Amino acid sequence: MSDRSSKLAEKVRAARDAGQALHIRGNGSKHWLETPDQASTLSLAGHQGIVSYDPTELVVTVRAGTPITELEQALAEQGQMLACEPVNVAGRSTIGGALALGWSGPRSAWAGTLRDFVLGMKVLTAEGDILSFGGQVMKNVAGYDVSRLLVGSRGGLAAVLEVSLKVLPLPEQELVLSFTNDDPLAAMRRVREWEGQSLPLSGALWQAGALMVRFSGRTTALSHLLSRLGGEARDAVVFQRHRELSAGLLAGTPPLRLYRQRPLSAIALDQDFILDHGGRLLWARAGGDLATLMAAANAHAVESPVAGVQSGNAVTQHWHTALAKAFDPQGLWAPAGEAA
Amino acid sequence: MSAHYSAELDGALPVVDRAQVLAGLCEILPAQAVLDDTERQRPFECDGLPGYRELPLVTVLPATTAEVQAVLRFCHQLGVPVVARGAGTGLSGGALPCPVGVLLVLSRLDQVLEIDADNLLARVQPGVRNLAVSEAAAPHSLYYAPDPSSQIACSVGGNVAENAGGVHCLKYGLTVHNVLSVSVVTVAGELLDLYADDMGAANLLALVIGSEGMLGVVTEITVRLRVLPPRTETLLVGFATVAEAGQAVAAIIGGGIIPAGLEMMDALAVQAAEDFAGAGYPRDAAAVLLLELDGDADSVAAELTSAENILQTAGATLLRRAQNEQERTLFWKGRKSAFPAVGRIAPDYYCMDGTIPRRAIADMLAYIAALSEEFELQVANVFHAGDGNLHPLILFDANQPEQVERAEALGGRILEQSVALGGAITGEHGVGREKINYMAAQFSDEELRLFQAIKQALDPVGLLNPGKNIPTLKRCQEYRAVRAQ
Ligand SMILES: Cc1cc2nc3c(=O)[nH]c(=O)nc-3n(C[C@H](O)[C@H](O)[C@H](O)COP(=O)(O)OP(=O)(O)OC[C@H]3O[C@@H](n4cnc5c(N)ncnc54)[C@H](O)[C@@H]3O)c2cc1C
Repeated sequence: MSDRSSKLAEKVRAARDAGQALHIRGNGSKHWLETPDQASTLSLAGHQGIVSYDPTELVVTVRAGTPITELEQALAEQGQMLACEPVNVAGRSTIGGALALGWSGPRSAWAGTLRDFVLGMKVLTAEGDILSFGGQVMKNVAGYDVSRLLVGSRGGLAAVLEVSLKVLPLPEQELVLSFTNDDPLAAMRRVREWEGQSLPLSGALWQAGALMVRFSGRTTALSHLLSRLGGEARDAVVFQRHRELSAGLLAGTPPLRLYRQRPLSAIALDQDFILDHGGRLLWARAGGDLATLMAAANAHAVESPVAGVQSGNAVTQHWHTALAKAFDPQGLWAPAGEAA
Repeated sequence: MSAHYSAELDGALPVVDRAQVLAGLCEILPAQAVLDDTERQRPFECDGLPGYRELPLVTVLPATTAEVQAVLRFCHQLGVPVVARGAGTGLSGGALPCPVGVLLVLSRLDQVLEIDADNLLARVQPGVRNLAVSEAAAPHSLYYAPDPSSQIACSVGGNVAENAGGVHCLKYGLTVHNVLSVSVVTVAGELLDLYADDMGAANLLALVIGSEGMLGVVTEITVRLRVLPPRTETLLVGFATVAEAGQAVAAIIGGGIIPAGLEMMDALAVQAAEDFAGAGYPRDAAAVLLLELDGDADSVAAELTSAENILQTAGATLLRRAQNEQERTLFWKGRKSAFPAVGRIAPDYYCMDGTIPRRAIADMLAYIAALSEEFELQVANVFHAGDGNLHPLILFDANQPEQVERAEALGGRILEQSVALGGAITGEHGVGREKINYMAAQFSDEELRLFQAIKQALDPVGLLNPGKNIPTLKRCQEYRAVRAQ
């Protein structure tokens, strides 16, 4: 439970002066990522603890090395949660690592993504300066939104020291139902119908011929769903395991993530896949060229868990390169996953 | 200290050959899309903040993305500044023209390109009015959630540029939470598409949202649509003291309820709104809350009981539930017309936009009351209480230069206090030109330097909306020196 920011800043300045590359690391729960050669490690794992938490403000401020599991326990004691369910690999991820990756869990398709819940950050720059952006309030449009920009940046722009996140009340109850359905799109169309009836959806996942849906909300609102919708009641732990990437296709090195703006658009893949986030996220193994895969999945972007972003035109790449230079002119940061 | 442009503090503007610019633009655009005379450019000399006015060198009204690209490519080649403008309802001088620049008005890009009800999205051009999106979605029982009070007039492009909020953003989020993707034209005229769920690299869409036309021009927006809730309940609640109303807000949130809307108005704002809209607000209350719950019928019923109990316990002197859709609309009419209503009780008003933690609401209102006495100007308070976003409206007479000065000084003190309480100088109206000095109250030089580096990375020469949003360090030094006196 300690604040190690000044030590971390010292280390960054020393590395910068020595021309040494630095690789930012949390708990190393994303075991498929490799530390790049010739970089020493800047470990955020010891930089832990909740800095402030006032449940009536719906805001928690936490150091980056805090395990998500611990943070969620502290929130649950006050009847609150991280509604975006950041991916928590094997239950070992830190919140800083989750931000660097930017992956959100099943609830995010309805509640909002991890990026959406970020209110502010304290970051350590490649110059060794500690800077604050955003804040602990719900709304703040002064200056550029650096905190949300950093979500998903994989340690390539700055080290996150602290983050302020919006939190929400825990639902009174959760109900998981499973339905046999060979057609993933027909399954997601059903989900869309329920959405049209304003049912409190918080997860919709199709894999191996089964649709798994989760509802969260007031007990009174959930009580008649089982009899009304049919299906088979399941233990809520299936969504937990999914979020921890510990089951089935997701265990080991995760497959590619394909992002779909239109959840009900056609899919023409000839391999096993998982349709997640109500149809907006598709997990599939690599095979053939990426453009063909993206077209078959009707996706606008594809992400490799190892190498990061795999799409976007030349202009987008130019923006990424220019921003990396702005944040890190000397090329101090060595993001994970680039090792041979 | 004045926020008006000064070559000494903000840097010299480029020298531009007007005839050359005009000739070039006339080749790119049809004649009626290029305005160069004072008379036709007059309506564009300011946005919703009339204290800042400037005529642009020339005004253009492109009708396609390709024309926007061509204009930017041309201006980039010649080194001519470009200021984007949507509907001009901004309240911080963000769309204030540059005297040696082109004003790029996006109001002719006004098509709703697609409503995809199955996939819950709408694709629109930037000049589409905010309310028009919900109107186009309504036949499918869908709507677009962010609803700024200016929604009849303001453009979706302007909403993206300001990260606009509305009375329903406590539950449904700001613009950033409801945009799926945008097409942006860069300063050099290139086109790129940015997505909310792009992961594996920095989230560029988040950077563009709220960037006030400083990084690119938005030419297409895909927004998320939501299903109209089957049940909505609205409560009008009166309190005898402002402090009790503030505590009630905290108690509601602490009680595990996230209302669709939670708005607060003080006595002066209530009087003005009641005179204007006749919404049935209690004239004797020190503060009024409007609380809205929506969702499936069962959930709303459960939350309504719980909210009513909390409000009774918090000391509500009046608790009225809208009996029908008509009354509900009337309750909201009072709130949504609060600015113009206050505008009727004084020659002019100056709207502030600070945000603070909710727990500080009562303290902040006491502080503002003290400032009101000190500066001898009335202040009416309207705000998004659920989000801690204040809109103090300072009443003054713009024909009295000395009153203008007092109003600006009072406003500045409110912004500084917002920062001191752990909040921000702007929650939704943006920095623009108006709050340029107060950026130095919220950010350190190192933080501002990073903002400048971001701007320089994407717009190296600084042609997009020069002088807005991010102050020079020289201006910050001057601000700090003046304050230290
Ligand atoms: C009575 C009243 C009530 C208001 N209530 C609210 C409220 O509840 N919530 C709220 O958030 N705001 C509110 N506003 C402020 C204002 O309406 C919003 O900031 C709105 O988003 C501005 O949209 P616009 O189209 O008028 O933009 P403009 O004023 O034309 O421009 C605003 C900024 O956006 C830039 N810009 C515009 N279009 C583009 C584009 N296509 N690409 C890139 N940059 C662009 C401009 O350069 C400028 O910096 C209110 C204003 C008024 C007058």
